[in-house]
Amino acid sequence: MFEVLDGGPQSTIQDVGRPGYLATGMPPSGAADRFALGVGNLLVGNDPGERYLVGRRPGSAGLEVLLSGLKLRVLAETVIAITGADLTAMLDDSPLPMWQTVRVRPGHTVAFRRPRAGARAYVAVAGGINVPVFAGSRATNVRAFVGGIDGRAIKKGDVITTLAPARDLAHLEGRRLRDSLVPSFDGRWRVRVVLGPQDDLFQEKSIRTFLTYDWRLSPTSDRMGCRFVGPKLEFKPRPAYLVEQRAPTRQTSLMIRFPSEASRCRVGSSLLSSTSMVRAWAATRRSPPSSALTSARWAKCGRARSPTSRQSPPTRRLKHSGSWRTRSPKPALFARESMSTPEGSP
Amino acid sequence: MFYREAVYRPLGDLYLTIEFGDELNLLLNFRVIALDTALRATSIPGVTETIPTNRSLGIVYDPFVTTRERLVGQLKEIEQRMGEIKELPSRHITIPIWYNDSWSQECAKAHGAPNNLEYMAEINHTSVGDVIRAHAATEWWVSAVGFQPACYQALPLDPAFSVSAPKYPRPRKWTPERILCQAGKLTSFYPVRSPGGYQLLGRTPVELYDPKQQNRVFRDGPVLPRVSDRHTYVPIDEATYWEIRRQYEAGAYEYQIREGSYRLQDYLDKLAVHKRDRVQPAPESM
Repeated sequence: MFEVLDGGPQSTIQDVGRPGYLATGMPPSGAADRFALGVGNLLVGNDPGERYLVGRRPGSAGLEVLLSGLKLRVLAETVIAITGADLTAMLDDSPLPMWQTVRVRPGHTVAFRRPRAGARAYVAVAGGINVPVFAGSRATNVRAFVGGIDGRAIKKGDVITTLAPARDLAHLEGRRLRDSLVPSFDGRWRVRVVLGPQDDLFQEKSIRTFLTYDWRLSPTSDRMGCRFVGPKLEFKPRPAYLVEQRAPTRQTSLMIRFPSEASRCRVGSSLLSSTSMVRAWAATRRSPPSSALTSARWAKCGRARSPTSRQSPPTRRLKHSGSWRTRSPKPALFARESMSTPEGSP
Repeated sequence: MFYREAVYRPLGDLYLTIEFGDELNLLLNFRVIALDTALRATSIPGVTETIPTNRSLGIVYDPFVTTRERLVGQLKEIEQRMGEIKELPSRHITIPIWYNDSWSQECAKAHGAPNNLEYMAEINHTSVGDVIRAHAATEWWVSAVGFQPACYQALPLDPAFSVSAPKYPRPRKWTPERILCQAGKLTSFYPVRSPGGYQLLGRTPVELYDPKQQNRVFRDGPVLPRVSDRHTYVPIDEATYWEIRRQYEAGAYEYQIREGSYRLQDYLDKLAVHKRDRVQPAPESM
């Protein structure tokens, strides 16, 4: 049992998620880095759950911690394991070793001080976090107000209770992940990509650019999607009704959308975003570039170095967009219902 | 464009999508729903979910149980065996809307936009009253549900519905919940407070999404709209809005839902009449 002293920017209770409701618009949610949460659960003797999206057993719930700030006071003795990104986890004043079990006692404080590499860490607790199950899972979706504690991120004053551990706490001590299996959160990430569904709309040259350029993560990223900034990708000529009437920009922001929060996974809408449905676990573990994070508050991170990252994509779009009164009556865009109309949110 | 043959495209390693065309058209949506219905009646090993949308059907599959090649083969077989559909199960739901409500007006103003209904009236060369009348006169066909729980898109079942609306040139940062909106000829809905860029039409006093599942209508799930539902929007005034809202909050609101089906021929007939009437084109203002 824990008391939340500080919730941090966004700490949510997650398990493997609640698949099966995409047709109602309910995203499956679940840990962004399922490998990390799964290993944490195994270490503390919990059920790691079945495979993401296609399995039906969500496994035990743990805490997903974003960047720094989360602070918990231990109220009852238990065993925890911290996995995922290195966010400088501390047990009182000493560093908390990651990827292994740690026995914590009442009065101890677990805190995440500063992101050193990666963005999301996980706290797995023996027994798993005890919150009501909604549609088969405890995973929080803050946009849909479901899962976790009242469908929101945890906040100061919350008390987090756990279910009874499957094993004696003494048996859980000293368990750790072999060093060779601990993933690195530094450096460049190789993300596996399945091209499609609309890669045929892009020029060959642009596909090569997409697959070879070092895309830089922009801070306008969250659990729903990550935006990567890089050179402009060119379309092949398209029928007029498929062309969105937007002033050309010199760079592209490439949206990688995660099935966990995007309920429709862009089945047949935006072009850019659907170039790359990636293995989400690989991409999410990365999140904001570690170098930019060392000095940083969340809102500022990612601004460093490259000139391409100076202007975030939304600003750019804003600058080029038309104004209300200068539009011609009956804009040509809707002369025929355009496929670009239903792009993204209404 | 309607494709001559459905196109099967990969969507990552857990999904694929079956596309029937690349435009917004009810006839495409009917085919999507027909295939979805056929798939639900058959069980294909490895398929865990199907997601009907405007012009394509999403398939979620377990790559440890099946391969994409095998799956596409099975899906094509079902698709080709599928006979012509004449009728689809379709609920009819009546939803009260306070058109041009004060929240919509305030929200537009806060984002530097003109009153959205006045703007729509202006670009369609008509009046606010006529925009509302036209919107409430046609039945709407829910063609896709997604993006957020209970966020849906609906197409007019009356081919003569002519009011069209552009998206905001720059999206709003927020939109109050329970607002109905339109872009192109699509009606959509904000179940929860969210950013967005469609033109705001009005607000309904009743929930279409209830994660707490308090009303009876939500006993099977927190989301009311389903693909292939038909909606009729009934204009209400402010006083009625509050009266219904109070009823809703007291748990006394009775949703007006009629189970039933929709004959696709009804739409085709209307479409034929509409096309015939259009042979003599109206004077175009552009």
